[in-house]
Amino acid sequence: MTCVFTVCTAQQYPFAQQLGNSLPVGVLFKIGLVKGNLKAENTVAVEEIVIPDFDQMQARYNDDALVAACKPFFAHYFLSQPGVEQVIYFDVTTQLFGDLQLITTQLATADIILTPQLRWPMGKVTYGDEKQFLNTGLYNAGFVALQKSQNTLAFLEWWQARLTDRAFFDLCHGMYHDQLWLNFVPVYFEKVKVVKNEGWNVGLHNLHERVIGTKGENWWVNNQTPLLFFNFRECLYQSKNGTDILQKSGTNQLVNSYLKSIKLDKSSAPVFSLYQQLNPVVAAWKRWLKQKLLYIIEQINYFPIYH
Amino acid sequence: MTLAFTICSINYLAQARTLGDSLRRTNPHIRFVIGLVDRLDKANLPADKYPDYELLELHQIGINKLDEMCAHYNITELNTAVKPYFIRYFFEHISQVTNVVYFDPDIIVYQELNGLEQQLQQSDFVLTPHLITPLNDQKTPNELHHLNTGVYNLGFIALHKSPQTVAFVKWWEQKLFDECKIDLCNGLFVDQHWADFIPVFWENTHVEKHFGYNAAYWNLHERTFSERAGTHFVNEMPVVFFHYSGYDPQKPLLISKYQDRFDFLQRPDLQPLFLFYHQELTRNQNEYYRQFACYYIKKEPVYKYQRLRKWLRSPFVKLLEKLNGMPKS
Repeated sequence: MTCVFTVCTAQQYPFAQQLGNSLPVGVLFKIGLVKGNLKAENTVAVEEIVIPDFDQMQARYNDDALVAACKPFFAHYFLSQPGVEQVIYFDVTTQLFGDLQLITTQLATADIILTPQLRWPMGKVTYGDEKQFLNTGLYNAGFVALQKSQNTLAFLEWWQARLTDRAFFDLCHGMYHDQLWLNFVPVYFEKVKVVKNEGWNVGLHNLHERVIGTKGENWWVNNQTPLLFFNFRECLYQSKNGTDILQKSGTNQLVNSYLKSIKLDKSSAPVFSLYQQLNPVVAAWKRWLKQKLLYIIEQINYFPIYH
Repeated sequence: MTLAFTICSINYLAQARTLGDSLRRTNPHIRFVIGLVDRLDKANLPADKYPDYELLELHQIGINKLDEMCAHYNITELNTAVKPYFIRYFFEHISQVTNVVYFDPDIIVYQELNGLEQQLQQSDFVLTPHLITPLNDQKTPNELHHLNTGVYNLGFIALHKSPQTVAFVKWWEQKLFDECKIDLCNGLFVDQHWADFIPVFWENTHVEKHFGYNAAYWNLHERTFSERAGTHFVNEMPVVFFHYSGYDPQKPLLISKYQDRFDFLQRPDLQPLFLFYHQELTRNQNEYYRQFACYYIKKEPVYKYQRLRKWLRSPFVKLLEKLNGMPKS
């Protein structure tokens, strides 16, 4: 049996519901709840599972890091339930558009399935360029599919140990929540498959290389591959570059219908956005003042009195 | 034909000669070239100090805007940034070349490379990871350092000439023209971090998990060495090549200046490998070569009155910190 799950806070529950609605009827769907009280039949509160140092994790992490850090613990918990042989994690902001079996059949030959952030070299585009993926992760942690095995359990234990105290958002020191750690996975563990299908795990970070359109009732990517799942996480915040990319890739309609269905407006959605963190909106006067200050500091540092 | 090459300035010619000697002993069929990031004519190197290996000087390979690169980079950055430019030169100008293998100059090859050459018949890229198994402590370097600087060690890369590798080399050249910097907060670590993308962007990549490949200070936790009848073994397999990164023959008691996990007392198994390296560098006149300054690198001026400068800039730094909303180290 396959268990699809997500991890979120109670505040983010509307997103989880939407993810659940997009899954085929009858699929086991669970929501790991890290913070807040909510009683719904398919939720599992973090207190119900065993996380040895959870108190310390709660003390050291903010909500975003905590949600990310609990992912391998929930994965392990769901994988340990009677009858469950496979688990598929989706970010809470994901919606499934195609056949879930396309993922489960891949698990017949792989223990761990990951998707890359980028499929092709990008050059310089409005989103940024490749280097920002170097310290945030080659693979997107918004999706992981696992087949139960010793190998998979070893991976989860390794990931748990790291995320217990090293799941901060601290790019200068090799940390970006749970995601950057995944860089090691194809090297350390066996039977890891990196699925490079352009219809899998589409999101703002790879829309510069993809065009979304409809053929009949279905969504297609680059006019050649059916859209399997889309992660809206980075599309929830408005930014000029983001809007440009959505526009160019033909994704506006998709995003708008998603937002309508979860009945949230963009500004109130409490989900961590890497793009927003890296590209904070700065007032023009602030930007101007910063540049001036940097210039003065540089002049003081390098005024030529030397031998 | 397989061509192996290294890149260094004159100050590292003892290392390059040591590498060349080791290839001549173990793989005489492989053509070895030293890519020299320096000018022999300007250094006045006497004829008897020329290495007995093919030398290809940086100005001979036709890099567009080389001046700009030199002005932009320090010696480490420049020596790493020109790697794809040399590879492209070999692909384009030596028609028999089918495989190009890069080794850092501080490597010794101990075995035949026929396994690697066979692999290159099936794979376009061969990379070696820093770590093959998890590293559970948090000494230096640990897993976080590798996440910041690259999963694969670019002291070694092997390429089979193909449309894939030609495309990769072109992309790498573009990146390294101006972004071969150490700037961890922005994802940059010379040429190495960029190579993380290879298995994602291109096909036919082989990640070599043989413990005898690219053994070095960063993976000692998973490798135990021994010597029998003049052959070095690691985990009971032959050492194919050892990377003496960060070793300074003037400080022979240190395994590497970049690590604090082990010393030779804890790891006597390493002594034969390092003793041999020390002898080789001495024999190849490390003391002589190391004094040369690189022709391409302008000496950085030392700015005086640092305390005064610090005091003068402090109010501006404080204001900037306030604007940024967080302390700036």
